[in-house]
Amino acid sequence: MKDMLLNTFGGGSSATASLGVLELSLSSLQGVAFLASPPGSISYQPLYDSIGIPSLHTAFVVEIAENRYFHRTELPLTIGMAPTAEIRTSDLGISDHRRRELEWRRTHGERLQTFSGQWVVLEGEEIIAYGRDPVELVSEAKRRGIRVTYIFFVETQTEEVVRMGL
Amino acid sequence: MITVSYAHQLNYLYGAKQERSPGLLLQIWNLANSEQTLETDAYLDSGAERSLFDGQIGRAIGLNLLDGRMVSFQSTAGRVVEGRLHQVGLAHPDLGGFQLEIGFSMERIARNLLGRDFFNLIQIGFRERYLAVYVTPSP
Repeated sequence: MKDMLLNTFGGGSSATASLGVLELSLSSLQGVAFLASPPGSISYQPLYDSIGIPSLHTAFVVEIAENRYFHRTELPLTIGMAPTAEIRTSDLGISDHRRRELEWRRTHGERLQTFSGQWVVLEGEEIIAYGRDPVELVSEAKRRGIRVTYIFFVETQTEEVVRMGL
Repeated sequence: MITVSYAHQLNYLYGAKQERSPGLLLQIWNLANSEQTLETDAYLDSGAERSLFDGQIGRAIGLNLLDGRMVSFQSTAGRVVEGRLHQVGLAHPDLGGFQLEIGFSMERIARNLLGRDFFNLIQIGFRERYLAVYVTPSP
């Protein structure tokens, strides 16, 4: 894989990439409502780092054998309006399992924090049940007609704590 | 150069504060009764010799935890968590299904952990910078 770094991308440039990672460093996040993944790329790096802090760095993984020329009109858009196109995060080879639930978790962090220290049963975008006893919650989900329950624990988040396995 | 090919990309899971961690959303079921199935998060822990799930997950799929052989899971700090071993089914749509003997904790643990016993069943690679794991079903 070949890494391409465009430090000074300003919306008027073009680039080529082949079987590689097209990386972009933006000068500012101001006015950025979304970034559209260009055709030919298969994954998208959101503009947030691992602890949720906005980042000026983004990247697209390109998995095409031949050299691909990205015209500037195909490159990530930096516009200050609501998204009108879906960001492509599930394309070839990228798992789609429980996509709705995982997307809900991504976009509802504040809501989830209200369930800190508890188990949550989520189906689609709906919280079916929550509490401290998974046995009861799974039973409740089955009563609601859910055959396979998706249940997860909401960890209590404490500042300055680094998590390890056990 | 050694080249490893992966069939699937799975993005790190989101926590409540939008922190990202390498994990899989797995199906787990009771081998004695496949109706007792649920799906839950499990985090990838290459430092763990064996997988350990919260005992409440075992209870929720109908296991009697005390029927399992007792083992101690020891952290690097020396903390010991008692676990009970049970054969269960594990599956992911992109990876297929497995039978694996895993531990279920007798006390609350914050995360279900997939250890090297699980890594032995699949091929897995981490790309921390892109907050993604790459997996392929065959080890």
